[in-house]
Amino acid sequence: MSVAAVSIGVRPNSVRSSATSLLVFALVLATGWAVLAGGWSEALGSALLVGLAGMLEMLVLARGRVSRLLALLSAPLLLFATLLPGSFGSRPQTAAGFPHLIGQYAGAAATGLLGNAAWEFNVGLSALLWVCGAWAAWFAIREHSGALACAPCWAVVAVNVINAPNGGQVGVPATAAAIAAIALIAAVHLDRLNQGWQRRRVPVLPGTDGRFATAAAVGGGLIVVLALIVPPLTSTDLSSRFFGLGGSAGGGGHARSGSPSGVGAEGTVRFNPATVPGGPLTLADSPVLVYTSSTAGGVYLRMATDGVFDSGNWLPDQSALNNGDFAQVLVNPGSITRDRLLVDGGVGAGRQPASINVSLTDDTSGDNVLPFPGEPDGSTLAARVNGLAAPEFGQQLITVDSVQAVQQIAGTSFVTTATQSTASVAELRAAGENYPAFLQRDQFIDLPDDGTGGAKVIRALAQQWTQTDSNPYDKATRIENMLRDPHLFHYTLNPPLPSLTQQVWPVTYFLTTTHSGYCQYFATAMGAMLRALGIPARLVNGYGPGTAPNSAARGVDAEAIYQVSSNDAHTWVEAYFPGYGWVPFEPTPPSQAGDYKPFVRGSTSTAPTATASPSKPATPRATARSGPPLVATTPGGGAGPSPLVTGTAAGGVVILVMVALFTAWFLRPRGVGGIWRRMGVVGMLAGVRRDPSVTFDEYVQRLSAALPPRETWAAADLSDLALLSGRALYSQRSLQPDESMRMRVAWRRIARLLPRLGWRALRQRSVTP
Amino acid sequence: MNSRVPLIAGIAALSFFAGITGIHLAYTLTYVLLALLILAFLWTRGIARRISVERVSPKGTYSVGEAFSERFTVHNGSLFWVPYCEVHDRSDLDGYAAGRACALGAGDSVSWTARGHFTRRGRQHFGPLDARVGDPFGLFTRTVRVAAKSQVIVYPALHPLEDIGPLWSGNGAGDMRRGKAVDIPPEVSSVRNYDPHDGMSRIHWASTARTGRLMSRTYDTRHSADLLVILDLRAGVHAGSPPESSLEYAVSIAASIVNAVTRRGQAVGLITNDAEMHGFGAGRGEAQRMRLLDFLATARNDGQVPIAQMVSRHGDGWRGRGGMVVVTADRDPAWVEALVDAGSRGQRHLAILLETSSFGAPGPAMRIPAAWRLALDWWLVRRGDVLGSGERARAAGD
Repeated sequence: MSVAAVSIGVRPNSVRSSATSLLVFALVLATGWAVLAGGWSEALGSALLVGLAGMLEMLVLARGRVSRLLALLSAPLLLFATLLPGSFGSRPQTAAGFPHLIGQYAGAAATGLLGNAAWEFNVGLSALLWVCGAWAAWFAIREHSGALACAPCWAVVAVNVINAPNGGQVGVPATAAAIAAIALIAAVHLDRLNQGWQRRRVPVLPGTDGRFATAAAVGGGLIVVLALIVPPLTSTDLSSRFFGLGGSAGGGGHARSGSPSGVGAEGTVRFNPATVPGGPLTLADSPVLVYTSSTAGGVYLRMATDGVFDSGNWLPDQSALNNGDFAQVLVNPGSITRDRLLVDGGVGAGRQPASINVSLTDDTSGDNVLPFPGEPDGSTLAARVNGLAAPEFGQQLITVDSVQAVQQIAGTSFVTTATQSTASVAELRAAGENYPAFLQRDQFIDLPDDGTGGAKVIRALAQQWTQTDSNPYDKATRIENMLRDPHLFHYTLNPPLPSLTQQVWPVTYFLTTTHSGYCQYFATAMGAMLRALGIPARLVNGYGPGTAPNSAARGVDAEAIYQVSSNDAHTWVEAYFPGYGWVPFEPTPPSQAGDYKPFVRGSTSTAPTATASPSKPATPRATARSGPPLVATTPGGGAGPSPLVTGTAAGGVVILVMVALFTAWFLRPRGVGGIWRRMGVVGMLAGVRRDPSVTFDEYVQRLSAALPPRETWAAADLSDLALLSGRALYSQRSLQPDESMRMRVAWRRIARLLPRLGWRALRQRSVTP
Repeated sequence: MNSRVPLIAGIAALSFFAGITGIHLAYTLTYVLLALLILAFLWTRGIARRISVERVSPKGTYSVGEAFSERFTVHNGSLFWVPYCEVHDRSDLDGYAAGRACALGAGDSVSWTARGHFTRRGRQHFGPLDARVGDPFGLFTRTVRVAAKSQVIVYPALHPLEDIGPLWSGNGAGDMRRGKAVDIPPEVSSVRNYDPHDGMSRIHWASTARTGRLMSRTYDTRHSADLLVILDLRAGVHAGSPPESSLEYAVSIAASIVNAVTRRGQAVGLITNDAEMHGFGAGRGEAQRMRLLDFLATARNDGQVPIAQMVSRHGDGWRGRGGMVVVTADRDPAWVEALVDAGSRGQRHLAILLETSSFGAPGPAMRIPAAWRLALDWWLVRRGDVLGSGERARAAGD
């Protein structure tokens, strides 16, 4: 029997498998690139070479038709031989002998990635990439399973994306790996098809491979583009709730200023005049001071302000401002000499005096910085006042950044006075945007970028959040509320950090990715976002109100003695409103350590209402989210589950409940009538409607005939059910116990038909035009 | 393992980690896998609904060994490309591989011609046909079945046996010698337009009435004596497996004889001992040829009656009408005796014996005594013999 074209269009196998081999190479290369970009280690070049070598080794075995068992047995030897050249020289010295060497390498390959030792880590990473390469080559060339071939590489890329120190740098290589994986899956499938056609002697028409490749390329491209376009459903990092990493699992944390320098370094909570969002903090709880306040309740203790924003951090004016306006004025005990003219932008109207009587135990500032219950106004100590002054103000201070006593204040008592804003919400809303000139000159609205794009991200996010708000106060309140929303952000002393080599500000990382941090993160974020909107802002470092152990018994009164420890160190935000001066905002959400609440506006009291009671965990308030931007989406992320996800989940739950209720109803008929009502459902799905005039026997006969061939086993049960039902309803004697049991058993067997018949009915309906 | 399993596992794991970390790129990787799965499903479903396969198959009658060709056209009516389409022909034609693998663009068609030879007699169906399509990632496949539409009747292989005819059947001279030919009335084979020289008795009135013009009968050219072919289809007699079985040889020889005799204008009948004891009275012309070949195309050896009985039963009735040809593989000499008994003076019958030992049956070949050789014409057929006229000398039993 001759056929016209037995071998037309069949390309040699070698050509196709060469293409597949190249794609395996590309996949391993892209995977290695992604790991390399992840910034795990500096010695990744050799790991990548090991991965590619593993690919080549297994490629040779796969093409050589080596048996699976032999390949499996030879894999450890090949791995060891491949690892050896690049790592032998740098290995830590251990006991001599080949077994020790083997053990050292086996241990490093197995557990090196879990530790911090550099050599073990690199060996572990190399071994992982070797496995990726070898696995991909074997499964692609020998087993012809593209999805399985890509699985380890895909897993490595995914883990890398989720955990890499340089997560932001992984995007391009991960995308390349995804493209290579899709291409490899298609190529392996084509190989498999061709192999099957060759085995079954199916001639292949010319152009088949080309069209297949084109279709796969178009499909793969479409998939990748779709995946890149579709936004993520969530952008909140909830991993700590699952794996206990960071988050509030530590309990009792109270965000403070005072991270030591350096991102990622661990420090203790304490006062720091600069605001540098950094690494994990621990609590020290050393006493700092006690005070009594002239106002009801505790007060925020203001010590220093940061007016300069630099690379995601906030710095005091004195250290960063370089335009000559910074001044240091020596003042005697009493009132601080400063510009109080509204037209100049002085402390403003709508303010009330407040004073505190302080007994300082520990000068945590190290510079005798005095605490004030608001905008500094005076003290009982001679001091140097740091602030901004300019000729147009007659060299008077227009701002007071910090007040340093000229004497040692540790172990002394003193009184400081200040003013607190009593401006109402309506007044602040109507304050307008006619800001004094010094605010611009002294960089209170500056949000400089340093090439990382952080300012751009913050600006975009701020505009998105406040797009429905028309005045600065509403915008500030919106940002404050968003940051305090427990659905969007949460408080932790152990915030996830970008890697050292990752060019991203911690505050940007906080806003777009982690949504977890302590008060410095929240305050930095709000201050930056206010400036991004053109609202003058600065950060205030000091202490929270502390605790008043006796106030619970006596009620809150002006005589309550508040104890402040280093754990109460805190950072908050002040925004400038024309005519009202600097007005505080509290962006840090309540946590187990401190129930920080927004400042109360109005004439009665502007005293902060925060209470801090480590012994009494505060319940996070249910923040009513108002306004449109429910999801904090930025060019890089958002927060919280979207309404779509919530709705889908809720719908899913409702459906599950309905299915469960129906199943419970269906499986538990109470009598013969109940059984036959349910039989009506079975019959409906089988396409046999029950006519009341039809006897049980006639009905089950019709039903049996309508059952699909695979379900004919149910015919006997149906007959049994009909017989027993007739006997139960029409016989003079009722059913015997064994007959009732038979009936129940028969019904339960028949009930199994329901899902199958339902599925069949669904399919028939779906194919019916 | 199905490719979907690791894919779905990957989607589940990645969805979880993307969901709890909120990392955009993790979502992107999840979407890649998810889109892969969804697109592959929709792709396969879309092309399976819109793909059509058309085949133009041969029709009519063929004989074993004749060539044929089929035209296949696959059309993709969907907006998707068809990455691959494997057309698998489920025709039960031995050695015929009409299927092809191809790929099509959106709205494209591709055609090919498959050629083959018939290797088995009987009714041969073209189809059904399966077209398997799938996505380029191997995740989903769908099979579209196209039912069989046409069939052909394949007659047994017909060999040129004209040259051996004079030995066992009458020609004009032989018939005259036996004085039988003139007694056979002419047979109407067809009608034609009336010719003015035709007599009135030649007019075929039924056709004249139907066509509205005068029509005349045409007659087959009469040769001489008739021929009765007795084919042994008893179960268990034949040996070997098709196509190299004694049954196929026997049927092919019987069909060749029928074909040759009817082509010469002689009358031929066929008697078999199959389960239904098929028998066809002697007749001549194309209609008789077709009738006998149709039967032989599907004849099966499922009978129980020995061939000797058939020869005895029909031999007496046939005596004097013409020659008999017995085609059998039966090694029981009873049928030879019956055939000798059925002979008459001046009439030699032909015994065609297939040597089953050459087809793999155990036991020795049948010995033919000299007396039988003198009484009958013999043709011993062994496996591998070429059943053409050139083999006559070898085939003849003398």
